[in-house]
Amino acid sequence: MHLLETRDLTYVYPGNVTGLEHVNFIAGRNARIAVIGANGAGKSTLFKHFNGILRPTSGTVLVHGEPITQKNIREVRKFVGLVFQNADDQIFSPTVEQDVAFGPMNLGLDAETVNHRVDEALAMVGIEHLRERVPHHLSGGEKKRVAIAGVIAMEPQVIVLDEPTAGLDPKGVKDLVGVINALAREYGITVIFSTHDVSLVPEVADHLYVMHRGSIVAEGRVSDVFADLELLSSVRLDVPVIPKLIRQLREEGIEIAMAYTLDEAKAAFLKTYRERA
Amino acid sequence: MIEDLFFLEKQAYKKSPVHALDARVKIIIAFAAIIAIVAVPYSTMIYTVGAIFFAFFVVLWTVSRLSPAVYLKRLAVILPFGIFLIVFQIFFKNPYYESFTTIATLPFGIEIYAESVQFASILLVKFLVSVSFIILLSSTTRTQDLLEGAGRLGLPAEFTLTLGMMLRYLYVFGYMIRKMTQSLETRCFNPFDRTLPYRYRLEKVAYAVGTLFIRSYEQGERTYTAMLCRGYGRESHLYIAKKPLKGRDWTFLVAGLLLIIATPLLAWTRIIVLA
Repeated sequence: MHLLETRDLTYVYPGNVTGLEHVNFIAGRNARIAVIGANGAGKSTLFKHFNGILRPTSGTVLVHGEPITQKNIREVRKFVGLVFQNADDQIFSPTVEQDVAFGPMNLGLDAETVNHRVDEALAMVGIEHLRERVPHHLSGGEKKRVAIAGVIAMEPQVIVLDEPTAGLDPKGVKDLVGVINALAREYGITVIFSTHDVSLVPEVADHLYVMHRGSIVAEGRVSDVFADLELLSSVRLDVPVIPKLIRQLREEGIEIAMAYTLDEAKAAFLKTYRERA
Repeated sequence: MIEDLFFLEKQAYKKSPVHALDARVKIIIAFAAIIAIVAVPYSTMIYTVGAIFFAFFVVLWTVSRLSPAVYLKRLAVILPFGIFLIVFQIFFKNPYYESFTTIATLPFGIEIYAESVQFASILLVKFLVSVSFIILLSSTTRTQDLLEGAGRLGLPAEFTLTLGMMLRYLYVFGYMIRKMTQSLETRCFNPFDRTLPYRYRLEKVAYAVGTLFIRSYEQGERTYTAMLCRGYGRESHLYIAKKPLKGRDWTFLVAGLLLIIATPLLAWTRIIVLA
């Protein structure tokens, strides 16, 4: 049984605009899944189905093997946490601490547990020092982490992040990559995120879905999907620099192993260099 | 409440001969109908005029291919305001009648007068017709067309620019509220959830409203700075292109106005009497 699964999910917006078409999506335990696609490809629409914010026009969304109903909606939202693209949509309390406590409070937990969960969540994203601060004094990257902490505090098994790196500076992106990897590796949470920054994907994802105009046009391990560079440009996405460079070198007759991340590329280049020497 | 905004927009984007009419024509017809029905003297001839006007409205609504449910739903929202005022009339004397006949006496010396009941029903007719035409206008005309139409009819630039910004931000905040609500739902908050303490729910709703105010204030500051950067000043106004009325628009305008003017006149001279 998968943690999260959609079967033939189709969603038509009011006014007959098709948002999603026959989407089959699977998220397993402890996975890091990237969903990439151009603006308007349907990423956010898909994510809003994961915790029942939107209801499918046809098809089903299964959470832990069960369809989402009015009865289990609370359980579903406890199980699947959704972090919004714009942190300002989500953060509304006067202080960071209160905002992170908001989710656990709604679950009816006692004060001690809530406090404990706030500690945990703030520590997980590394912002213990912001606890007493007011949200409007925070930078974009800090707000993003507060928003993530607010969802982690509900202890979900799946955390869904909509464009988590949008609008962040390079350091902010790097910190966020660290947070995402820690969530998956140290805490065993399944992380699903969307982005159009393809160079980021090999660093933070094991599995990849490519969306275009409401449909999934490719899926698989990152190395498999990125092997088809033409596909990426055909759906209005960038081609990642490292595999592109290595492919061009190979076309020039240089024998070098394919690589997707910086570390892999370094190893491949060193190997080729040493073999020549 | 905020979903009503998007519901209304959806209706206005549909296609029909009524939707296709120029906004100016629809504005003139709607206001002509309202002015005409309001101007009819307080007498029973209003029933005739009201019935014909309402029939005119029903014809237009049918041609617009909108569901009667849309009309009833929107009427139900507005109705309580009018009904409240109208129902109270039956207990009071008013300057339109000389003498009053008591038809019922209630405790505490409250009396219901036959003339006041008649007066209330006349008000009801005026109210229903006016509101129906406004519902028709707003359900078949996109808000931006309404604004442009009003501008072309001579609404001063100060108003069109301000109203234009208001409409734009109505939708911006509509989406903002929708996103905030969804983010609250995501974290299992429901203001009507009785398992949470009342005070806590009230506090959180207040925070959400407060945040919205702060965000709107910030948005206003940003927008104003951006407007200044693009040369906003006293002379600024909304760009409205010239657009001549088509033959079809003229025909409908003339026919509609004739009907609206002729009906009360004929009822007044007792050439047509329905009630």
